Amino acid sequence: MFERIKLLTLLQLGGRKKKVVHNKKQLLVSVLLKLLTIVAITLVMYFAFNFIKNYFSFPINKSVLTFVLFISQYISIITSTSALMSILYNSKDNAILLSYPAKHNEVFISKLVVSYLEQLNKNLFVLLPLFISFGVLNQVAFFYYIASFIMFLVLPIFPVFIGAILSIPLAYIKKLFKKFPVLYVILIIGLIVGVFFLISAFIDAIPKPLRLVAIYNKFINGFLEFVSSANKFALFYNFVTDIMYSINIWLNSLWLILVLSGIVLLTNYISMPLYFNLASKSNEHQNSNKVKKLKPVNQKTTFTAFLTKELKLTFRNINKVINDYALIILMPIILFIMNVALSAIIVTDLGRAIIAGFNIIVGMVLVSACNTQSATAITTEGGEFVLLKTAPSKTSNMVWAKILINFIVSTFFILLSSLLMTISNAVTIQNIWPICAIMILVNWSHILMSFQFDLLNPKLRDYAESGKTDNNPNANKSVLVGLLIGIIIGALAIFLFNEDMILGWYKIVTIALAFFILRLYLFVKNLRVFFKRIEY
Amino acid sequence: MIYAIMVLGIAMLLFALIFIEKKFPKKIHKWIKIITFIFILTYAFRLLNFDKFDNIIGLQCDYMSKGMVAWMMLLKTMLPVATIVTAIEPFRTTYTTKNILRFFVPVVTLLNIIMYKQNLMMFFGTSNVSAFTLRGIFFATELIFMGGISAYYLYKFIINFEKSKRYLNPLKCILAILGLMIACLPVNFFQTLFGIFGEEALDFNFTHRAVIYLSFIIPLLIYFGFRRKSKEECKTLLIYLATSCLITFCYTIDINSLNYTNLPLHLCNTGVFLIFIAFVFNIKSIYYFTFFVNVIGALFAMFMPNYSGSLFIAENIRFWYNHMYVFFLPVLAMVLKVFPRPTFKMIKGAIGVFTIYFISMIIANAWINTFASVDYFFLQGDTISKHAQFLTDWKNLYIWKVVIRGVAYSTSWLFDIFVYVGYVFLMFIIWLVYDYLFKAQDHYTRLNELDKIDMLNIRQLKKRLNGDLTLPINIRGKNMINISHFTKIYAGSDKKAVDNFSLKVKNGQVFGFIGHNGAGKSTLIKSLVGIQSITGGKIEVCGYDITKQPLQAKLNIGYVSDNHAVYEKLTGREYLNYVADLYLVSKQDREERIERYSKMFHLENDLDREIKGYSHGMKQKLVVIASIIHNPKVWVLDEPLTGLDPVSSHQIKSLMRKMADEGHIVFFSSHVIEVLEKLCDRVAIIKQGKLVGEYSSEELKAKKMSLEDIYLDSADDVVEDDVKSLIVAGNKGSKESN
Repeated sequence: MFERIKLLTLLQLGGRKKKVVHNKKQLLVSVLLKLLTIVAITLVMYFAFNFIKNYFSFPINKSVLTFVLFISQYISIITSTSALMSILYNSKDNAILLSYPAKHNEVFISKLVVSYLEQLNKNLFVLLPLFISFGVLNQVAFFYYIASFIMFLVLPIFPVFIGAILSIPLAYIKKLFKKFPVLYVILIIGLIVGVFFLISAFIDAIPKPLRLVAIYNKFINGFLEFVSSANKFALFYNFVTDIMYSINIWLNSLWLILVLSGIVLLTNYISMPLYFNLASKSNEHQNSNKVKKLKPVNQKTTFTAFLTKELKLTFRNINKVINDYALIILMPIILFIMNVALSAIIVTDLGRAIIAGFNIIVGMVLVSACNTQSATAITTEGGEFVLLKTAPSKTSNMVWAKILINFIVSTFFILLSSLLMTISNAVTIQNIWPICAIMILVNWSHILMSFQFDLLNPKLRDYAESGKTDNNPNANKSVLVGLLIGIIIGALAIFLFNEDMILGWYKIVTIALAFFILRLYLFVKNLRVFFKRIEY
Repeated sequence: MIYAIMVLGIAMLLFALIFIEKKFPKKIHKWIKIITFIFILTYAFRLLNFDKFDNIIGLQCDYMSKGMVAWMMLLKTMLPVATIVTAIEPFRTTYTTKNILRFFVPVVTLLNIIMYKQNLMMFFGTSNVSAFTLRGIFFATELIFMGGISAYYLYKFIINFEKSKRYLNPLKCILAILGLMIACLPVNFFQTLFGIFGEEALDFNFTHRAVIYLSFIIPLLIYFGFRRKSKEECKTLLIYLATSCLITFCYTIDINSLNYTNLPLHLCNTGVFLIFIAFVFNIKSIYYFTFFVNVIGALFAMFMPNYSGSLFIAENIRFWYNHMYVFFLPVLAMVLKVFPRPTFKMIKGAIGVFTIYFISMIIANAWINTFASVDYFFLQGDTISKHAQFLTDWKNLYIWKVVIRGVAYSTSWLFDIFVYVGYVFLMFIIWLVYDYLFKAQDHYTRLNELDKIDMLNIRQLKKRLNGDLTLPINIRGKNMINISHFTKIYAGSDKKAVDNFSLKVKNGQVFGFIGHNGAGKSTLIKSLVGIQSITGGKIEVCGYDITKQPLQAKLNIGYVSDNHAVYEKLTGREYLNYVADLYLVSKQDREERIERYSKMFHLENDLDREIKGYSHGMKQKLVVIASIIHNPKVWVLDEPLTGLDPVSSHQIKSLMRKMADEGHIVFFSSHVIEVLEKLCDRVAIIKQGKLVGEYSSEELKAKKMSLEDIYLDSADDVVEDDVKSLIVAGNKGSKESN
């Protein structure tokens, strides 16, 4: 049994592994690089906590560790549940794995092991540096580090097993939504109304004028109170930090083992028996009975043909649209809340410059994070790319059709955000439009860059085989570059505005325009040369 | 008296060199190098002695008029250029520097001889100087060497006038002289001529930004000026710049006042010497040390300069020259390809040199701080440790102390380890950054090359077709597929997937294509329809070259791929209309064809449903309809019958036959010999990328030969190979299990 689980796990890991290590030297370099990254993240976290502790007089103690831990782990549970719904029940490899001479339970366990290993890998760069930086900052006892390492190994089990349990009702709910889409619409409307009320409550709660220095202690104490009350919901994560801080080690360990055993038992008796039932149903042939209304069709140019096709595919997969554009849809709300809060603060000229720059950074980070779909635009053509290669027309127009959609959607939300910013009064109207122009130009540049990543390194076969863009290197690169560009342009804006606001605007808009022209020129050239050289 | 000695000295040196050349023509270069080396030592002595001239501000001087000070400043600016050229030219010769040595150096030497007394006044800061002081004698000797060597080069020019004058380019020489004057500008140039002016380069004010921009613009200009020059020329340039860097650094050094506390041991100071040594002696480990360590150190220093006062005072100009050079010279050497790109081995070497430097600094700090106060590499002070409490704690708590003969030598060992590891970590980060930049450089070089090739191909084709690209390149091949010596090698592989394959297929035929798995069938088909590139040979479809005239060729091709990938969220009709748009089919034609073929394949009731609900066979039939929506002359099908039910299979076969009968070419691959035998007019067998044979069905029938027998005969060795590999694999497996 264990041998079969091991084989199934290795099989799945092999399919996901992008880089193959060929020799010991490469392995050494790869391990060294990982180690260096962990050290770097630990240092960054240490300095960040040190800064918060020393410059804001904010206590970084066990209570805060519990808070950070449970928030991060709750997020892990949510992401893990979502991932497991796909991996367990909707994965393409189910058809292959379930046909192997192994029990269904063994396939199920192997999938959980794979998820655990992925969580462990993530935690290597999140939890481990977090624990070490906390420990160094608070100069804790050596046992803390031993406990940290044990917790680093144990903690990923929780999100995986809890995710496996939660994924079952959620899978049924998903099916229900598919059957009765009206329920889904009601839920979304409910969520929007809820968010609206939350925002209103938050805005009303902001004192005007907001004197940060005057209410600083109140704010810190309030926050600590919030942390303390929030920790009541931390459940068994309280046991974890207690063990790390050597408080009732044996009793807390016993509780933790009991909780863990309970979750494992629930998984064993609920999730495992239902797994095959759900997994096999999702793979069964689904015959669509929807008949689309026949409309008269005129001959189109290649560009309009691509554009129409893209629009149809987009609107017929609304879930994907929401996933792809979630952050950009939220951007107006986030920027609005941020600016309402900032508008209550009385600021100096430097403060105004910082607010303007900060708007650019936050806006750019949100908007550029949605450009991952640009970084997978060619990849997601998958096997269909063959048609583009054999068609006797300028099929590189397909790229422009996709770009146009991204340009329009992102520009619309940037304009909407700018409109909402005018209501918030944190930034004057004269300053909002240059911010808007910068964000539009830089975002367009980033869209072109993201497309270029995919143009130069499309993963057509991977997508054709898996139907997924998970761990796509171009998407990861796009997010990283977007983050960097956002920070650089925002920092530059703060720097230039601080010198002379009006001249600063001219300079930064000119820089953004020059950047866009450069990216456009390079993209057109790359498209001309490399699109026809893409092979399938 | 001294003037006569100098003139006589120059004349004697010139005659000595001419004599050596006449008597020992093979040894003249050796002798010039020896004399030059003595000249370098003489100059070095003078350079390391501080001039009082460097204290003059705004031409104010009590022993000389303002006009004379300005003139002497001009001479002082030209002298290092003459010196550098004289020192380097015998070792690394170029036409430009040779001409500078012939014409510019003698003039500068002569002017300095004339102004000899004024020069001495500048050295000592008084009008009351003797011509025969030690520095005076060294300076006179320097002028004699410079004058003698340059006069000899001038003499050579005169006697070889006809040959030498061809290489004379006055404009290039003037530009090079001006460039070198800027490269080794005396650091007191601005303060002497203009006094203390210019603001302090602090807090990223305009001045600070301007010098930072210059630090990037200057190397860029040099790069664009020299990027197409040979490696040797670039190396010569770098040696000139490294020497200029050394000279500007040494301008304000006074060897007499050097002590343990002001040794040039800081990272960027050592960089000046290391870069010079690396370039002159071609020592790679030192070069990569400067590339990984000094560049980033200098960049940090430029962003956060720790000086005070106007930018244009001598010390600050020295600061900027020092750091600018140390920042851009190693990078310039890399982008001009004088040194190869770093590998892991090279970074190891750089870490090795850094380790030696680091340990030396720990020892120097520990030793010198027992009797003075120094902070080399910031290991002693709080420059680094003040940024984090734990570093301050480590620095103060973890101290290693050694007492030797009653003297306590100490170092903060944990802090030192942290700094060392941190810097090595930084080196790896820089390596990653460099690697990214190298990739970008490679990419854009390739992009430009490919773009040029594409443009050239289009121009040539236009010329060949008298400007009309819609005409077939081969008019005689209008009704056929013509594959000529086609070869395909996949990227990253050295194996030929298809090797020197030639075939002609005429219209009105169903042409079948058979071969074992991996024989190259799909490769050939993919290249034929334009999905994959062609390594060698050419493929023409209806007279159009698939590589050079892809759009025209593809207009004549309909293709059914082996993976039947379709957009599942579209309806069948939408998909067909989309394909029709791409193939430029008119509204009328497409409507008629969609109706005709959907009825033929019994799809008419499902066309308005989303494709995701289609079965495998329905998808296959949809792809078949899409491939002929534009009524192509050539219909290419890759394994079209795989996975189809008998009815669907029959429908497609009938359509293939019908198309051929209507004058189209039907070209398809299959594994099913019976289908090929019954359906095809001609059949080709491919084996390991090579065409084994081409057979007509009628011939086979006439000779009563079976295609199966022919195929199995031709495939025998392939089958044998497969069996052998299976046996080997089986043996391996059994050994492992044992």
